Amino acid sequence: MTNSLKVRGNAFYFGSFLRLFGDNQTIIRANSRGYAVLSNHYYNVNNGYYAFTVTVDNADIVAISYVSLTVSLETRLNCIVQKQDTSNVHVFYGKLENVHEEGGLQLTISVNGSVYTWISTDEMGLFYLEMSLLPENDTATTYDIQIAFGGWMAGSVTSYHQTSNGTYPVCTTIYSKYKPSCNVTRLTVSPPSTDTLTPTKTPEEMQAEAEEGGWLSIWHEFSWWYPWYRLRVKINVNPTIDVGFNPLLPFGETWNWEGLELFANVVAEIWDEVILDFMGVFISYTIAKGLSIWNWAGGLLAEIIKGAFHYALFLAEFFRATEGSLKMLAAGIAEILMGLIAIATNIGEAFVKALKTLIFSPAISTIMLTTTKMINYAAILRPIRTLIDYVECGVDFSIAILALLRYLGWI
Amino acid sequence: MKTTELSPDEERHLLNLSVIPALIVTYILLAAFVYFGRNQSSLSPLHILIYFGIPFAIAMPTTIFLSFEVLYSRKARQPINRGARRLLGRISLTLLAISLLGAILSITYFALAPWFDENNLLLLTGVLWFAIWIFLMFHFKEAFNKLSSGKW
Repeated sequence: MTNSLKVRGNAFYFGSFLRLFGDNQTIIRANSRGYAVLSNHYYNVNNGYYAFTVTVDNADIVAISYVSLTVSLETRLNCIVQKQDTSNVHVFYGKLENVHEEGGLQLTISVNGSVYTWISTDEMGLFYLEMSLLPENDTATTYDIQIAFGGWMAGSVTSYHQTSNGTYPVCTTIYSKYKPSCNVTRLTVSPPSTDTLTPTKTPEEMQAEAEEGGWLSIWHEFSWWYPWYRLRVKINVNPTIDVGFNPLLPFGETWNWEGLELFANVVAEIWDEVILDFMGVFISYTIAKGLSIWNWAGGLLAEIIKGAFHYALFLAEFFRATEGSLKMLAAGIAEILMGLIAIATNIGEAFVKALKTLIFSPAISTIMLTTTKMINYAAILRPIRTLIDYVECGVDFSIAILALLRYLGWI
Repeated sequence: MKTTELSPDEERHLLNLSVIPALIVTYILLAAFVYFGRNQSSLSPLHILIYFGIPFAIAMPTTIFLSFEVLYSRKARQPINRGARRLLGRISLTLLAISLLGAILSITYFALAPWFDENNLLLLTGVLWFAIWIFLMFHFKEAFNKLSSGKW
């Protein structure tokens, strides 16, 4: 650890570094350029911690540069999980590495974000814990088990330099004997057996699931009457949403959805998030649409850059979200709604009405009604489908699929 | 070579068709990003905007404008370089939009970072960019029209 304090001036100065918690005092001289350098290596933190100071004979022209040091030993938490075949008792055991024959260090055990219990390590840093984890409602249940060590013997010391003009802090040492460390294990407990899973899947697994499940299917449909051709897009996640439309001609759209009932319990809980997500996208979409009347290239650029921001904000949430994250479900519903409006406003309106039947609350019904009215105003803006609608639709549906798949824990 | 001018309706049809390559580009970018970013839970919104959003915002209009020129030259039976001016004008509009975004982003991150978290900072940047872009489009309507129609 090397720190330098620069001493300015033409006169002859010397700096003296004081060692706290010890008798040794090192006096070194500044070189001709005004630098005084002290090197110190912490071979053993048991000897205490230090803060350095420098004094000069003419205090009025000293220039002090503040120094901050951190001293501590790294630690690492290892953990192994085993389950007894006949019961739901899970055994967690492991070691807090790099502690030197010091027992009684406290570990905090949290299950799904809330503190479950505290345990202590033994002389070798080992720990052992039994926990009963049951599948809820006889369905596979995921538990996040966090074992955290909060560090030990934290403290700090600051040295000050006194001059005739006042007192200045020169150096602070933040000290903890052992640094904090943490271990997170994710378990899925299902009725017949227990599997330890890594939170993400390999690309091969993702591809296999995509081929098997067919999340998104697109096909052509021809008819003898108007609009003669329909592009059918089906999002086959859960719920299933199937929309048919002619890319160039207005009217004649078809739509069908199944499985919205699955959301009946959660939609009421997250409806404010859905509305907020939807409002943001909807307002910027209508502005971009309006702009495109003045200049289509400028409106299109507004829409695309809006899409870029939208992706950035969504993907940041996406990578942090875990299975069952309601934020993802809210984003999924809002994006589907917006994508449908971009295809045809009446489909969006029907979707809102379908959701409304799931929730029995006067407040939510009012919000839904307002949303429906807003959608109707959008209909005035878009008598015909333009490039902006396709961009909006592509961005929205891709985000919706990602969000719903994350919510269901498939990716 | 005999050339024909296309009607606005025909142009709109070609524009709608050029969304197909743009959607392919979007899905390739998205798939690549999800593939590479899957295990990087620490990626911040700013990183995603820079690694994904900006390339997306450049690639998508470039693909649309370029596909439009290719389709236009085939339909109107004229050499593709006839539309070079128009393409150049539209690409420079894109670059203007992106550099405006970069400038606002650097200002908000430099000046407002102590008070807002990253998500809100990005949202604010988006709103500011949108407002400034709307203002520019209204204020310099003529210049925008000239640039995007290649009459400069």
